Amino acid sequence: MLPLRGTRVLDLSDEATVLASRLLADLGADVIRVEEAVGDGVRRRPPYVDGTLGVERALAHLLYNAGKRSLALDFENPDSWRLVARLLSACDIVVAPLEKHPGVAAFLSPENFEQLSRRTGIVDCVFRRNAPLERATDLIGTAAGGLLYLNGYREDPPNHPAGQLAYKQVSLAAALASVSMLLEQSVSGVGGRITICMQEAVMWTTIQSANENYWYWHRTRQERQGLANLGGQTIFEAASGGWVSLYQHPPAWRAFVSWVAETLDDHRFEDPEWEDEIYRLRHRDQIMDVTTKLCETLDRDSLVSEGQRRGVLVVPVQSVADIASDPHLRARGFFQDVMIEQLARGIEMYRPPFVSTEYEIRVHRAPALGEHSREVLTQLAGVEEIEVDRLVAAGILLATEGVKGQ
Amino acid sequence: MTPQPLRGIRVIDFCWMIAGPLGTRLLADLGAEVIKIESIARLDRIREVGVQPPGVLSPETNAVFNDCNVNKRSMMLNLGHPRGIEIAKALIAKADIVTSNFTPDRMNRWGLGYDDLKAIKSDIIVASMPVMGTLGPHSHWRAVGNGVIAMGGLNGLTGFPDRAPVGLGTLHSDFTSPYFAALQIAAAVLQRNRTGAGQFIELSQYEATVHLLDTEVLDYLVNGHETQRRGNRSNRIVPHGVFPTAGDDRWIAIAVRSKDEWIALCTGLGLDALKSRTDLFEAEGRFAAEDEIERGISERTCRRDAWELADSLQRAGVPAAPVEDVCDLAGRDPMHERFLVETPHPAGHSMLLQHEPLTWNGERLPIRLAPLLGEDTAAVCEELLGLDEAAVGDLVAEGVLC
Repeated sequence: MLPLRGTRVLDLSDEATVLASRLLADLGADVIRVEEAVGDGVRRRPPYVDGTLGVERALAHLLYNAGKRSLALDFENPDSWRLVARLLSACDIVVAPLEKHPGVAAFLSPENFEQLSRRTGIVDCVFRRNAPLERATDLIGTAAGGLLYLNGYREDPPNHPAGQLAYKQVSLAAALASVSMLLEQSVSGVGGRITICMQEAVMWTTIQSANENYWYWHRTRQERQGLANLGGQTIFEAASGGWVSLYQHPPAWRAFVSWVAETLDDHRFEDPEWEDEIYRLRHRDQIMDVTTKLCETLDRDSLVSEGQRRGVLVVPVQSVADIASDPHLRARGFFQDVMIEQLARGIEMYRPPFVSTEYEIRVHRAPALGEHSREVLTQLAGVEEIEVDRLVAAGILLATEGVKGQ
Repeated sequence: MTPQPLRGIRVIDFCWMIAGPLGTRLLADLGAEVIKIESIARLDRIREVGVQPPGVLSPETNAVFNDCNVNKRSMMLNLGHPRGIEIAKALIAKADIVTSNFTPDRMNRWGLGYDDLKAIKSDIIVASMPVMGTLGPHSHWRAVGNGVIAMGGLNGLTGFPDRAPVGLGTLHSDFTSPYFAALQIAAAVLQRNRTGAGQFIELSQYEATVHLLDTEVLDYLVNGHETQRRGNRSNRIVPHGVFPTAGDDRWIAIAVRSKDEWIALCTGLGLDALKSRTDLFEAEGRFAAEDEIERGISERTCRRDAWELADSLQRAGVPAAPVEDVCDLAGRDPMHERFLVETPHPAGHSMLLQHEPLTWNGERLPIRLAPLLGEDTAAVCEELLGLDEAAVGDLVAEGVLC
């Protein structure tokens, strides 16, 4: 059985927090995504299935809303929020967005929310604590949190890292906060309000720098890392033109030395002074030069298998095609076929990283817009069928019928 | 009082380095009693490598060690000694969770595998965080954080298309995998509280890191399209970039998602000619003129102060921020006053402790310094094993508690 079976989440998340509620759905929570009847931002951004625009076709929607239910409402109409309020007693947690539609902001405001529910908790998110209403995208979040400055080639402007890492950090903190709140509710009966700060969440990823600055740099600034990372350059070009990441792990030094001696007939590192880590640090340019030459002797995959055989920490710098065809991930059942009923086609997706003796996670498809509006309101909010029909006719509710069940 | 939902939960923590200990720190922050198992014979390398205060070389004062191990207890226990394994089992009998991040099979060889531990405590939750996972043809591969982000696709997608993939400035997965692990462990506690059942859980850091990507893998699986490195540009937001400002290596980040934000940007920067062009109101038109737009913005930002400019653009409704580095975050930006805690350390130097990035009902979670090496050995032995001072002294002398 999935660990969060029996819990229910009201999902108001946006792009910044949407992975949080996806992870809760993966772990078994019933996640009800409350979305604008016209389709929200996650449904309206490229890329799309086959490159064709449509609120059911955005890959971001299929990825981040997998396994959720959809309730689609007109956010501008106050009646919509009265319906959402009626759902609250059936929900344990609300996952809030970073940037809030005025209707969402009013609904989640302490003065409104505390009248609606004492038990249901809110996991909220702001950009900065001292300027909570400022606008932020992922780029802005990585800039404000210190991650962007560190990333990129030294001679160029800072480089926005791939993957929307500011959003990811916020979502990960929000997912853990949600389960923390469920635990707290199981003890005290009250969830309360957790507010995650995107700037702080991103700074968490540069955690090792704060004391370095405090003790040494003061106002001296750190350099961007380029191809380097902890202990010098780590990214090297292989013979075939691919790239590897090779880290000089101190316990693997002797394995590296023998590999260099046997392959390049270069025995300089066999001299005893190189056994000293501090000496190696001071002369790391030599190590990097030799590593560059070593990597030029073999293609990427041969470098990795030979290095790993010898105990050297070398792995491939992978493209998305490499990941999608990785025999290791394939053997672990990381990829799963998922039928997207509203598109009448199956696609391949990847499961969450959670493996347990108590459960096996199947990835479920994302919902069609408004697919569950009727069932959610009638089953959880006590709304009569005839009232659902009236709300649909009035344009307040979008109830998409006839999509096969998940 | 701040809620502590894991109060009363005890963790026997065999994790070392960064990713594992940071995961159990997240549990400790939520109130769990995390007992870090340490040994002189197998010192956590992170006590030794990394940043030390000026003039100090001590296993107690390393910055990263302290970041990863606040709110924990430390117990010395030599697992290379047969009595060490016995004591570990006695501790686990009184625990709720056991954590480790060794390569596969290490815990089994100590006789501390899941089946062994389940026999000691039937509802134990055992969590393992191997880089590659225990199954699969590359499960024996070894890597630290920078290798994990290389395999996970972050390096390959970052940088410019005609240049080398670029390394992130941090061991990024070391700061993301812990969240996945703590999430799964906390969910397991909730499940055990409801059903009475423990479990073995495994989090592959590589698999977790693939989840840091956006839609790139899905785009390949569904459309056969392989995303390339694209510098600072976005496939849907334009302009989307980092622009020079006054000062050495000072930059502002700007992103424009709508006509309103575009008009506000042009107004704020005095880009009157661009503002008057109706073909730039929508993203499609702006994509076609991206080079021209970026040049225009750079000409206007390069003599402005990044902080003042970001502030005025934000007030006009444009997503913008100065590109802050750690000096800014720990100094100029007032955020540090609420996020970083200056704390005296028994070894002499003060250090900064970093809170969790959240408040609960407006309050921070409690935080206290990481433990000194073996600081809690005697107390844990007395509380959990009923050993008195003399017995502890004997075990130290025998090389068990060291």
